[in-house]
Amino acid sequence: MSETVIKLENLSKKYGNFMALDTVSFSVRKGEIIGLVGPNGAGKTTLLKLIARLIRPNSGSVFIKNNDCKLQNIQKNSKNLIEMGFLIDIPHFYNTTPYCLLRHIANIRNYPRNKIKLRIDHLLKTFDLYEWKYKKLKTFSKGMIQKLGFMVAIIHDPELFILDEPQTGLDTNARIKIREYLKSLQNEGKTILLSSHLLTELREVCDKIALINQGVLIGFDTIDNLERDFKTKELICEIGNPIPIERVNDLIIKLNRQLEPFLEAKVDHSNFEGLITYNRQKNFFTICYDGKQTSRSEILNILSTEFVSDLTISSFYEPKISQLESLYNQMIKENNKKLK
Amino acid sequence: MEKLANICVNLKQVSHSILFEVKLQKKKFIIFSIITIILFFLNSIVSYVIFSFMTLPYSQIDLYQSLILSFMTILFLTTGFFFSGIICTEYKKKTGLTLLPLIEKHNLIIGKYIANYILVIGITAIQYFLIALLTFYFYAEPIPPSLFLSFGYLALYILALASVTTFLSSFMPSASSVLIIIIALILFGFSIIDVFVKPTRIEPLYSLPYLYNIISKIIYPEFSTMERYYEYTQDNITHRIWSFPSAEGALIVLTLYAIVFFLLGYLLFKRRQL
Repeated sequence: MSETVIKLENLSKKYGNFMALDTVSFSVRKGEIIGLVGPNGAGKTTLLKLIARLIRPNSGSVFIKNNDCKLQNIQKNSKNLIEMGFLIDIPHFYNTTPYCLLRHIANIRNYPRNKIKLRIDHLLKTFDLYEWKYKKLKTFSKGMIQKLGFMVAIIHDPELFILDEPQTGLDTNARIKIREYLKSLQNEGKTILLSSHLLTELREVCDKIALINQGVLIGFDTIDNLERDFKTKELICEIGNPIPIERVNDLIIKLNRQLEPFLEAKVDHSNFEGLITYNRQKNFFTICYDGKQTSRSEILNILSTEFVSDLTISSFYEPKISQLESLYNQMIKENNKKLK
Repeated sequence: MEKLANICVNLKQVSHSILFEVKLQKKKFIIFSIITIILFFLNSIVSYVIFSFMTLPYSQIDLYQSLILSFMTILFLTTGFFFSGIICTEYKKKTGLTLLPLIEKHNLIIGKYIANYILVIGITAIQYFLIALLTFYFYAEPIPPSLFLSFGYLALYILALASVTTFLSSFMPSASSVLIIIIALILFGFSIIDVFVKPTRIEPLYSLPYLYNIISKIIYPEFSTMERYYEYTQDNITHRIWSFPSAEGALIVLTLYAIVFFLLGYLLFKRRQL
């Protein structure tokens, strides 16, 4: 079992009367990529800043692995910890050049002097900023600054990465590069904690998701386990001919009645809204079912036999991409209900 | 051995911070150097040589004194501009200090402080060099050793002023607010305090504008015997007007200013959160 690199114990942070984080606890193991998700203002950035020791908690502790492979309370002693790279959500820099800035950071971080130039050139080439090596940063676009921020976080090749929305403002190409770089870091045994609103990206790289809502950790597990617990599996049923608008509601009610044994178990089935929905523009039904393989077959069977006069199925599949989004929405909705 | 390694790492971080900060402030240094030269030119060459509407002082010492006094405003502005953003800009813009978590941040601040101090001293040295050059041109006399003493006090004065500015920067939100406050303090703040202290006839050693006077007065060879104050009677009340501090008094107070305000600034900076 790999060792623990970060351990949070009942971490809380208040800004005046506002509780930004409320007794958050979890551990991160070496080599894991943890995705931090949550709505705006949930406490993600606050959590990352607490780990980076840029702010102090009101209560609780942050333990980070030190160079003697022991967990150390960073509030009591922040010396001798493993190297960390940090990317803030909207980085700003001095009016200097990327080469100058990266060299300064590498020097400050004690990166071997004879390797600095090579490392800088390698990173600049990887993220397509090599031609901008000696250009002033005030001429850079938002995306370029974001890429540079990422490079500043990784320049000294740390063991632990804390990244606050690393892909914000980046084009598709750059996002792919960062995603691949994160995966390569994981292969090297690095540990990464990153926050993002891009659920599709998180799905591709993260081992586990930590879901935060209103300062509370409401889920921390692999996506598959969370989906199993919340049973937020979806099926897409594309149909040949559009359903007339006056028949949609009746059809949905009939579908809910017939498919009830196979729909999401944790949700009140008397409130049919949301479990089966019809998209008029793209002409498909979305069915939130219980996730079982047998249920999936049964649903297809029922649709093919008992609804043959109502709809003609042209395609029937389980979309990968929307699952994390629906899981996210489902968990936030349920948590908000509990808090009310 | 581990302690030695830590000290080396800390020194390395300080030295890298100094080099980086000097590079960042290069443009500011050039601009202020040019301003210093232009103002010097206007105050001296234009006044005494080109238009000759001012009469050359009797001795070179008097010329030194008047030119050093005229440098006061630019000195305050220069120190203010260089040191006002030393801490608060890092927090406002979320730059270097915030990109480097779990690092000994005081190394970075010390490096920035030293770098900016070197640059301000550099600008001051340009001014002193021009003063010495011009005085030699007019009087053809050797440079008095007291000019170096004056420069030494000026260096200490800049340290004190820089520490006060750094202290303000440690809790103020932006560099411009620090600059406004430091200028207001120098122009009005101490004068307001003087109004209350004057009737007590106590020497205003707390006052930075008053302490500046030692820099121009210490040039005089007879400095140690010069009257540091004069008195006059008005409405049966004897008023004492202080001209300049003693060498020892200025040394002690300026050193205290430099140490106390730097330490206060450092403590506030340590507590400051992003």
